[in-house]
Order: sequence, then C-alpha cells, then structure tokens
Amino acid sequence: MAVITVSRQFGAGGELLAKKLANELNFRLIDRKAIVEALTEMGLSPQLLKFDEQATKGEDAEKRQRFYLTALHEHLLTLADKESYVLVGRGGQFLFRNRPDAFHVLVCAPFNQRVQWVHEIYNLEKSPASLLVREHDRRKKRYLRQVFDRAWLDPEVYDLVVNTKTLTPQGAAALVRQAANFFLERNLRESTPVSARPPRREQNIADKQTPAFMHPSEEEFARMLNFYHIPWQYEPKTFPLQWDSEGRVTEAFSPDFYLPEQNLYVELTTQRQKLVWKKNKKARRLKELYPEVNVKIIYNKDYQHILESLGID
Amino acid sequence: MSYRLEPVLHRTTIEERIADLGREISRDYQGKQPVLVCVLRGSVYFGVDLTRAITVPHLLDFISISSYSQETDPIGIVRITKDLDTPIVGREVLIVEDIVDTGLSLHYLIRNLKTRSPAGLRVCTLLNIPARRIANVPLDYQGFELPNIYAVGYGLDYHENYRNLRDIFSLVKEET
Repeated sequence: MAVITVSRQFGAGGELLAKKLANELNFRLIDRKAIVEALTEMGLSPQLLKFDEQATKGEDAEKRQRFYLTALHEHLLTLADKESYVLVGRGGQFLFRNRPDAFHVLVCAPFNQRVQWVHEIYNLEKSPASLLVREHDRRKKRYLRQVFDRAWLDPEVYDLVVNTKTLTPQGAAALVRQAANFFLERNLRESTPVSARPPRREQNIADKQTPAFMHPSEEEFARMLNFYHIPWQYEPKTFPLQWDSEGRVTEAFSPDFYLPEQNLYVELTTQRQKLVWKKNKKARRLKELYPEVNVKIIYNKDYQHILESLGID
Repeated sequence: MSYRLEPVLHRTTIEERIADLGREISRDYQGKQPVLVCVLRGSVYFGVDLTRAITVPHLLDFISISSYSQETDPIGIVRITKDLDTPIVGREVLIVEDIVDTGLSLHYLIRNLKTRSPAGLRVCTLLNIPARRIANVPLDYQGFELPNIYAVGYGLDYHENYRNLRDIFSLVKEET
C-alpha cells in the first residue's frame, strides 16, 4: 500500500491538487470530510472532532486533543495497511515519515499570491484575506510543533515541494502526478512480496525443466552451473534504467542469470568485443541506479577462456 | 587458428614468490602439521615446489575432481575421481591450486572437504584471475593476480599442452 501525504500552505491550492491526484491515481482521498465520517462512525463525539488540525491550550483541552489524535492516527495507520490513499494535512508527513511506502508533498506559494487567491475565491477584501492566510499559517505551524515537535516547512521532510505560483496549480498537479508515478513504480518494485509477483522463469538444480534460453551459450552456462551445484535463476529480474516524462520505462536491463548463493547477476554476451559498448553502458547505468546490485558481464572472450580451461573449444 | 605464447611470469619470479608463500605458510602453521591437498593435475608442479619451500612438518595428498565437459550428460554433476588417502577430520587443511578463475570447482571442493570436519580449511593458489570469478571463494594465500588472460605453463595446460614449461605464458590466438 502507498500513502501520499499533501501538506499545504493556506491558499496555495493543496486541497484541489490532492483531490485531482487521488482521482487520477484512483486512490481514496482522505481529507477533513472523510476523517469526520470515519471517526464519527467509530463513535467519536463531535466535541472531540473540533480538535482536527487545531493546536490547543490548557491541560484539559490537551488531554482531549490527545484522545482525538490517538483515534485519528490509529485510523490513518490501519487504513494505510489496507489501501492506498492521498492524505491532506493532519501532519501525515510526520506520522508516516519512516514508512518507505509513503511519499510526502508540500504545496506552497508566496504569501501575496495566496492572499490574492483567497481574495478571489472567498470573495474577501485584501486585508481580511491577508489576516486569514497569516492566521492559518500560524495555527498550522503551532499544531505541527505541538503534536509532532517538528518544523512544518523544513524541506528535508518532503519528497517534493511545489510552488503553485510559478508552476500554476495545473502545472504543479502534473508534476506531483509524475513524481507520484515514479515513486509508486519504485515502491511496487521494491516492496512486492516474492509470493505475490508474477511467476518468473526460474530454474535451479532442484527443478530440471529447461527454460527457453535465448542463446545456446546460456544453456551451456546453465549446464555448467548445474554441474558444479551452483543454484541459479534465469532472467529473474528486470531493472528499469530510463523513464519517459510520464513514468514509462524506456530502457531496461534483464541480466541472464541470478546466482542467489553468490548474490550475483551474470550477463553473458556473445557479441564481438567491438559491439559490447552498449552493454557496458547499461551495466554502468545499472551500477549508478542500483549500487547494491552485483552484476558481472561475461564477454565472449572470457567465456571462451572459461570453456577452454575446461578443455572445451 | 594459430597461437603464440607471450611471457607473463619468468621462472625466477615464480620461485621467489613461492619462497615467500612458503615462509608465510610455515609461520602460520607452526606446530599444526597441515595436510596440503594438491588438486590434480595442474597443481602438481606448484604443489611440489611449495612443499619444498615450507619448513614446518606437513603431509602431502592429492585429490581430483571431474571437470565439466560438453559431453557430460545433462544431469551430470561434479564428482571426486580420486579421493584423498588421508582422513582430514580434525586436521588443518590447505588446498593447493594452480589457478582460481571462475572458482566453480574450488567452490565445490571447499564444500565437499568441509563436510569432513577439518579443524581448519584454507586455500593457497599460485594464480588468481578475479575478472573471471563466478563463485565466491576465499583465497588465503595467492602467488599472483593476473588480468583476464589464458595462462599456460608451470602445470597449466591448453589441451594437455604446455604444462611442462618452466615459465608462465599468455596463450594468444592469432586469426589466420
């Protein structure tokens, strides 16, 4: 499951952006309305619901706020285990800060721009609009400091910060969508449990059925590994190397073999030495993007040496 | 196809390095009387010279394992074709290899010998070609690390030729 948290400065258009994002990703939108509904259903009193995104003063109020927050956080965390959603505000960036399946966005805009938009949308004069924006900013800052003891506008908290003035609300939404796609694809790749993945063309000593090898040299190599009791899998994984602007993979690399005991991917290349630059480039790119992956390219010349050392030509 | 031999390691360089290895091994195995397991056939030349450079008491034994060939039937697996004459349980064992490249046969040998519960198991190889490595194998002593060449001489062969050369050469194919 994935959670995309959208924190927003008042008047910057974060709510609209979150709604659009949830629609496009087909994720549930968790905003004030959804939270009130869920917590009411859980039996929380309307008096407690007024603590939503509010800083408090006084011992009694703080106690009630803690009660409310416990229920809210419990609800959000439980929901995240069941389904993917876009969360508006509520300090989601801190609540989910250590979760690898969470992506954090901050939507902001310069103060004057937000005043201008509030003035237009709420049909307020400039002065009260300005007061409202200032008040909301202060309240949110205090709330997050009180509940999570963290600085709201610290850029390190976020995976993406978008400015809706320079990007326009539409541009910012498109950018967030693209970043979310990238993140979701990566998250899916890294978190899908092995049992839930589509069946792979897997092969090892225990299972002698021969997979469809692309080249006779691969079959030979597999036989050699079998001979020496080295477990292997054939093309078990594809590593995306390049993506286009909409998050589609445009270049990928599927090494021929994976040797689990050696934690090593092996690529056999039967091309002539002159033609291997492309494969070398891919291997370099793979190393850049996945530094923890060990991959070895066995060139035609190396392979011939290996076979020759075994008395085979 | 014709071949030419390019000199890589002269016999005096090999002798000097073996003397170093002998000193190192003698120091490490002081009072332990190790069993030197020489892997047939290529390692014989190195194994014999190494024993002459080792000054602590030790025992020399030989082992041979089948190597992969294209004629091997599809379910063929590596096996020992000549086993040790000495039981190694509770003994310090030093495997002596002429060359470690893919590491595949050594990987098997280590696994096999470990099942016999030696007190310790180490590996000494004259040549190491890490560029061709496939299986991870620990090397405790090595003579020389070489780039990705086809080495012959001093026990290393190409179709049973060149073993008897005293120096080590790179066998280079020449397109004709």
